[in-house]
Amino acid sequence: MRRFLCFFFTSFLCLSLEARPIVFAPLPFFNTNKVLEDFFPMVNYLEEGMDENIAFHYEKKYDDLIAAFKANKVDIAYFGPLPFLALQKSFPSALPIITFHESDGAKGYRCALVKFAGDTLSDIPTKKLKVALTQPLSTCGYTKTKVLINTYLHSNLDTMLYRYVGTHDEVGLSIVRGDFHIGGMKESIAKEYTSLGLEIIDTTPLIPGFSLVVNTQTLSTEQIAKIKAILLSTPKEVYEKWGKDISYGMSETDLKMFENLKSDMESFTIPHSGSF
Amino acid sequence: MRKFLATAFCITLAYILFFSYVHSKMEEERNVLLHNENRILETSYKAVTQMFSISIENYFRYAIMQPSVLKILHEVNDTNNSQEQAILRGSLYRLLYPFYNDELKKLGIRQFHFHTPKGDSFLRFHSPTENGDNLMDIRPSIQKANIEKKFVTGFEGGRVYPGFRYVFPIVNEGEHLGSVEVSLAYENIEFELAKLLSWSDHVLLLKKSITTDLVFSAHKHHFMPSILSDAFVIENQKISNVTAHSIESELTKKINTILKERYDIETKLLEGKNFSIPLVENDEGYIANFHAIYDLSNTLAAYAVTYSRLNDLVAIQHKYITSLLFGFITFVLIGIVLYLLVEQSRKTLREKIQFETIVEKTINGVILLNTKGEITFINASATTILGYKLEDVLGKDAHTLIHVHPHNTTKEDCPILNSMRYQRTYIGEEIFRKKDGEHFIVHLNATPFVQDHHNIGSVVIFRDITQDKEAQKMIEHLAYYDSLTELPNRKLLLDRLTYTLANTKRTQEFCGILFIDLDNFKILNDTKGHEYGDILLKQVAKRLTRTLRLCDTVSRFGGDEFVVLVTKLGEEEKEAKERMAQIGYKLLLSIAEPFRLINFDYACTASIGGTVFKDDDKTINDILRDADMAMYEVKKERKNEIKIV
Repeated sequence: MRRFLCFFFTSFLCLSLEARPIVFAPLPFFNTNKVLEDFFPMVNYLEEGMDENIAFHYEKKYDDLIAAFKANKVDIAYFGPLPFLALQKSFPSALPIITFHESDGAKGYRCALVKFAGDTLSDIPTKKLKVALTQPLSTCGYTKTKVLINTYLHSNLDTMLYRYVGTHDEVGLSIVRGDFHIGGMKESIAKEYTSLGLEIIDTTPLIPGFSLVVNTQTLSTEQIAKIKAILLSTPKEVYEKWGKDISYGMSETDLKMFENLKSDMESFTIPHSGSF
Repeated sequence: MRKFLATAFCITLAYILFFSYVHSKMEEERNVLLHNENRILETSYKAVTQMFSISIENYFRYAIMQPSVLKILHEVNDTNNSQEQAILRGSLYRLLYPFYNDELKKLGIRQFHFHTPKGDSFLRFHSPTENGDNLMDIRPSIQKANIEKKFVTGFEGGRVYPGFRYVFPIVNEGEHLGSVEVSLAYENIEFELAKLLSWSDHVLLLKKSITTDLVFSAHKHHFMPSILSDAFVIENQKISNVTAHSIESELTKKINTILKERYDIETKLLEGKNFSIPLVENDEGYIANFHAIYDLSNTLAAYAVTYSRLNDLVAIQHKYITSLLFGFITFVLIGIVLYLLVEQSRKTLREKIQFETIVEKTINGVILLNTKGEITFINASATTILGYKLEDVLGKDAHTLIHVHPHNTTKEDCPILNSMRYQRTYIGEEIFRKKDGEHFIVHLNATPFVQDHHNIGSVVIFRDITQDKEAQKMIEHLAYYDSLTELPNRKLLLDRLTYTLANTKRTQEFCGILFIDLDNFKILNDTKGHEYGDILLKQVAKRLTRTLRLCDTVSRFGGDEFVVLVTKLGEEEKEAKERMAQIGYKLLLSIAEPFRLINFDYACTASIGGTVFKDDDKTINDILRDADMAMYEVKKERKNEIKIV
């Protein structure tokens, strides 16, 4: 009996030392507090449903977040579609399971090409147009803006003056201020700036929304299934109190929606800095 | 015990009054200090807000009221098209963003906000996407600026941040174009205050009613609860660097903890007045100053709070604790002295009563004299003895009034006055005079009062000893004289014999002794009784005395024996003996006369033996024995005869 207790105690101690909480990484952003506030209610809800502790892991850049994910330091992450594809390219164990809806209830979102309504672009040579981009790995950044410019202006972004300004909001504001002539940003955010005269001149087809991506190397199938089940059954009155970007509902990720984006990514290389 | 308790109670009461006084003084001094500290905060606060006011007014004149801006605002006023308004909003943002970014932000101004004439938010440079909401009802400053068209300044809540508002009505060419507002975050005020009050930490306590209850929900995180009161919040330290510094400072944390634990700070905050709270902890002084800030609707909106060390509080406390301690010691000492004085006074009173009782009840006369010899006090016995009334003698010179001087003694020689003069007690007998002039002898004790080696008077205690003297005389008489015959008795005879014997050594004259014994005296006594015998003895004594010279002594030696001492018998023995014999015969003859004893005459004889003596070897006993033996020989032979040996 004594030997059995000793064995049981030692095993329990070893397991306890091995165990670590599930680690969740939100969207990389500069305003840490805001991001944490937005995701905290959802994480709290998940914790209660799974009866497991969930810790936050925060990175300021997508590159660092992808590195942490690949190093198995992160179990669940909130990714935009492009960063997810960048991750999956080198880390196939990353699996998107839940996609958050847009404010209009759509399962995806659109990127928009915007300009200030008071500006007249036709007077400016295309090559002298200044383009504001968010971040290299932002879906609405280089990748989709390049496509939109090609469609709207029949021009190649690579031949134009472009610069990364960091965020969607900054893209909008910098155009209103006159720092840039056009820019690419998320359509829903661009709409917020229409009261400042920001004009959406073109949009992309629906792009898969932001998703929860799980690490299949660190989470068990049961855990993943449980996460999925909990979130998909979350009542509206619960999720509508979560952060703005995740408060419009969610559904199981449709991997087919990534195909179009995946082909865009494979057709060109994303530059990591602006052209001027 | 009751005296002690009463003294203790009085001292305790006095100390309580002293304590209250000292405490009130301490409070007064501390309040002056606190008032000054609060004034410093108030003045600094006003100086800073005034400084910003001047800067911002200049910005308004030279940066905002420029033609390009006014043109846009005119166009905004002229259109109702939302798309056109959006472009104009964007154009305004584009036009003034450099000013906002390069000038206002550097000045620390957080909010730059244009409003329409109807009070709608037109453009918030600090939150450009939030516009169109009407602010008339929640922002009195905007209401006033647009309705009264007056510059409005003051503290106010808001939809994004509360702050110090500077709202300018924009009127151009007679057209009201709305208003523009420049708002300072408290952070800016605090930053400038920190320069003026570099020794303090600063916090702004904002009322919930102008912050979390008012702002857009997206901005609620700008605030966090205040530890001091649920009705107040503070700026989120993650947003405000200046606040963060103060909130995180150990001084602020410490003072906040003390305020929360020891004071009803919540109630105090709701009073809406400037106040300062002094704190002393572990011999360190601190002060928390609260400057009430009212918003434009004259409602309490916030408190500018400074926390700092203030060791003057400790100094004040130490000073007054020391005063209280010294006061306590002083009061205890006073209490002890008071108690001792009361006790001494009680003892003195008791002694006075005892003294007065003794003096009044004593049978001795007591007179107090001053240094001049005047009577300052006289007791009842003395007035009774002297026969005076009190008023007759007080202030009178005792030397002339009552002291009799048989030898015309002057004051300089008066023993009573001299006792005072030489500071010695005089005890003796003097003669005093009564009011009726009668003299009487007193035994007196005159004792001087001496204080610091100086006379301050004298007490004379006297007793009338006239009767004592008479009694003494009687006693002396009884001791030396025979009570029946009034003749000197054996003792006096022996004294005189001793004296005479000694005197004969000088005079060389003979003296003699005659022993006289009545014959048959016993028979008379036995037959007639002692009464007859006593009468006989008295009559014999008178005849013997009558017969002899005054210088001779006749004494009754005992029973029916008489002894006569005869002096001055000459220097010759023979002659002396003859003269003795003559005297003896004269005595026999005087006795031979019949004696009348009550109811019959009695014939009496006597046997006489005598001897003479001079400075020789004879002692008294020898002399008496010789005379006695001579008398016995006569008695034995024939009686009624004389024999001189």
